Amino acid sequence: MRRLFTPLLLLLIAVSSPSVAETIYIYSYHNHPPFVTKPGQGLTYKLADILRQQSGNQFDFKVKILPRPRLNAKIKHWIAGQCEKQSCAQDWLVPWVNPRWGFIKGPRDNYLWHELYAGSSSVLSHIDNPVDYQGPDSLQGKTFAGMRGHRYLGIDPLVSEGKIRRLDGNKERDNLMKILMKRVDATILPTSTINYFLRYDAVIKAESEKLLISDIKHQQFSRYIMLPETRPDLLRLVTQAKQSTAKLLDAYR
Amino acid sequence: METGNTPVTYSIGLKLLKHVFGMYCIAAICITLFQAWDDYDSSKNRIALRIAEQQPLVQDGLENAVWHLDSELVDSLLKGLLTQAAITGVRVYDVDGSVLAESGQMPQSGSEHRLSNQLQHNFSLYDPNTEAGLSADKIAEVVFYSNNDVLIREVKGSLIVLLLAALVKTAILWSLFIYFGRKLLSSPLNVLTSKVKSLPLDKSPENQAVTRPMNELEILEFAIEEMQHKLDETLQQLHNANDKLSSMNTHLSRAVEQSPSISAIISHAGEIIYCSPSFELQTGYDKDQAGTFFARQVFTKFPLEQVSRDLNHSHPGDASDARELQIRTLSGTKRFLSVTFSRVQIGSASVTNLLFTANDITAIKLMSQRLEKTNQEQEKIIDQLVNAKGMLLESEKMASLGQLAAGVAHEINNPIGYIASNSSALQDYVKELTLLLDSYQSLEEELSEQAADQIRTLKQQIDYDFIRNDIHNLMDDTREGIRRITDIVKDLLTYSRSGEKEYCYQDIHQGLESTLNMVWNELKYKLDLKREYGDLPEISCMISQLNQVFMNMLVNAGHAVEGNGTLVIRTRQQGDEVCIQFADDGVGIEPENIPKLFDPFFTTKPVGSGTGLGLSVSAGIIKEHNGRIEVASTPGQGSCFSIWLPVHQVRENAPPGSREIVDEPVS
Repeated sequence: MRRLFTPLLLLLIAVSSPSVAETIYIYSYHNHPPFVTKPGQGLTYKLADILRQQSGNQFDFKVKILPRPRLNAKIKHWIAGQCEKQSCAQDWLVPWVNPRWGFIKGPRDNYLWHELYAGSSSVLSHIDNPVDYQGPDSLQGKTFAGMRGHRYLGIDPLVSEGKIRRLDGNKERDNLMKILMKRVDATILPTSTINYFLRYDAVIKAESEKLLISDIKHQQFSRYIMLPETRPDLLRLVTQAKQSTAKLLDAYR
Repeated sequence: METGNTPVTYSIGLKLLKHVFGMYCIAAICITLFQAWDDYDSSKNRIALRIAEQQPLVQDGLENAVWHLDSELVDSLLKGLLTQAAITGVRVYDVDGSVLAESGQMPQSGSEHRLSNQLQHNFSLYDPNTEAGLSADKIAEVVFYSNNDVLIREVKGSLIVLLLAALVKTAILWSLFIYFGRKLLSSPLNVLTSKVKSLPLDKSPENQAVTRPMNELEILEFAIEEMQHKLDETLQQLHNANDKLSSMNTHLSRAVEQSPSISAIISHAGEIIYCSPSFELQTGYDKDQAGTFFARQVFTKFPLEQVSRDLNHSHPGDASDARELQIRTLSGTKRFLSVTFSRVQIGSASVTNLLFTANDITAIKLMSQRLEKTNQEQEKIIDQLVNAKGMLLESEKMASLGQLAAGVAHEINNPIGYIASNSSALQDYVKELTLLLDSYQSLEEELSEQAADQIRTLKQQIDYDFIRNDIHNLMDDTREGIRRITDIVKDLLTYSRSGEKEYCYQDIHQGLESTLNMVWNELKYKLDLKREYGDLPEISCMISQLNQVFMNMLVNAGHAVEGNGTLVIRTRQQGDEVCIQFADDGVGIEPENIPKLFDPFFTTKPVGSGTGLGLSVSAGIIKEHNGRIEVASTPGQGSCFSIWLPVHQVRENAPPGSREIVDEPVS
């Protein structure tokens, strides 16, 4: 009788213990408002909470903020479209991105996409030194505050030609402050980011009248959640959380 | 073989040097290699430390750059690192092991692992955005490389110094070894060899010819072999000499043991090391009691420390002066020894022991004592002879003086007799002439004026009135002078009694007065004289000699008084004796001088003031009169001499008990 007791006890423990939630990493290189407003806060974290709740704790969503190159390195096989041959990590999703933003280098799109909202990027200048943005050429002869590591469509060639002087910063707010302090002539920021600062940053809010936001956007795009094509379950979950997500996004748009 | 300096090529110093230097070289190489390895290892650690020190300088920047995968920034940082001399290459590995970035010289595959512990430094980079409290994800591994070129560059200088130091030390050691090898080894060995060769051992064989070259030790060995041969022969000679010495020593021992002289060897501490058999024979003490004997009977008179000290200053072979020692043998007999101490010195050391030598001189001593006693008696006799001679001389002198005085007195006595007689008649004549002149003077008024004037003028010229009055005085004085001369002559005759050799009954008081008259002129200013004469009969004596005694008493009394004093002369009769006492209150006589008062030539007076014979002569005279003289004196208070004289003299040859009176006084 004693011989049977231990195995039976172990079996009972195994059966009665709750199932372990799968960890899904939310990789995001958007480390600026409104996506990350403070450490552990912002849209990305709220999105993780919504999805966790939506999954009924089947998944544990963990946010990982990382630079774009590092994201690229993480999912480099997915980007290269080689995950059919190699065993690639499938425990991830990437929010706030667009399929045209360099995630597909292989012969085919091997992701699943869920659209979140339509976004844009606006050109900012000081009211005293307004830039009437009609296109990248409008910035010729200007000093442009860019984000380190970012590529700016239509602007980078002019920078290479020396027609635009580019000064990179590490943070979006820094570039915005450079405009207010007239250290640069213009910068380009996501419209949602600009709105967040104008709404929640006391300093910028006080100086909001000095900022000129171009009517013509630098870019207009949709922001998606990108998932491995092998995780339709996750896509299903994201889709199921659409209403909650939409409500969240409205608050920051 | 010559024993001069050995050529350097054959020198034992060089041979020794070769062996020692070989060992030294091995040791020096090992030590130098160890030092070089230690230096190399230290340098490697130093470089590793220097490499590691760069980590905190670049870690944050590199972490950010790698996190952002900013290859430009990463490359820039890596190039910056390469400016550090110690870092030759940097490589950044991704967490999957792929190379993210690298710069500089990378180690060859295979050598990387070999150097991994020392010439490379690894550290990890972590996600810089990790929230506080969460474990950071490792994002990369960084490796700093260095290589042997850096290491060699680092240790090159010190290695050169090390090698140079080793070379210099070797050169110095070589030089010192040769120098001190020659000085401390070769030269002493050469000297030793020379000394061994030159040892004055007789019958040395001819030096053997040595053809092969030798070092110093071989030469010494050769010389020692020669010396050994010589020593064998010398030893044989010494054995022979020793036999002779033993024989001689036996004779000497027997001589010492059978000698009547006492011989003892004594240590400085007083320990008796050896005693000859004669000690026991002479003293009665056995050898075990020798220490007690010496302590009680020898060292009490001749302290050991003093004897040792005296001998320490003496020369070897010197002995102390022979000194006399009276001992008492064990049986109580007194013996006299003639004792000497001498030093027993071994080699050049200081005095180690003392040799006590003693000879019995008891017989000689007793003979000497007898001789001394005889000598003393002879000296006494000589003294008596001298005394007698002095008295004789004095007697002769006084006799001569007495004869002279008697002669002069006798010669003066007759003229004085008729001068006295004539002066008496002259005085009568002057009285009568005075009466006559007085009669003429009463008749002057009856003379003519002229005659009267002539007489008055003459009177005035001769001062008649004065003469008339003075002439009686002159006559009285003349008569007094004659009387005194008569007394003196009479005293002289009484004092001297020239040729008086026989006893006759005389008045002592008259003798005293006569003597006082003679010397009073000298004493009257110093002494007050008191006469306390008793009734004395005339005694049988030679008065002139007693007068001499009285004169000495008076003169001595005068000398004893300082300033003014008093002399009392007392006389009395006591039985058949009379006593004449002279008591003064002068300086007195010291008690120790009283026994010597009557010795001839003894005097306390200054040199030249007294002959020292007065009392001696007086004592002789009194003794001749069968009398005695006694002295009582207190220093500072005065002296009293009492002369006792028998009233009658007894014939010397009269039988005892039948006193024959000589020269019975006429009553």
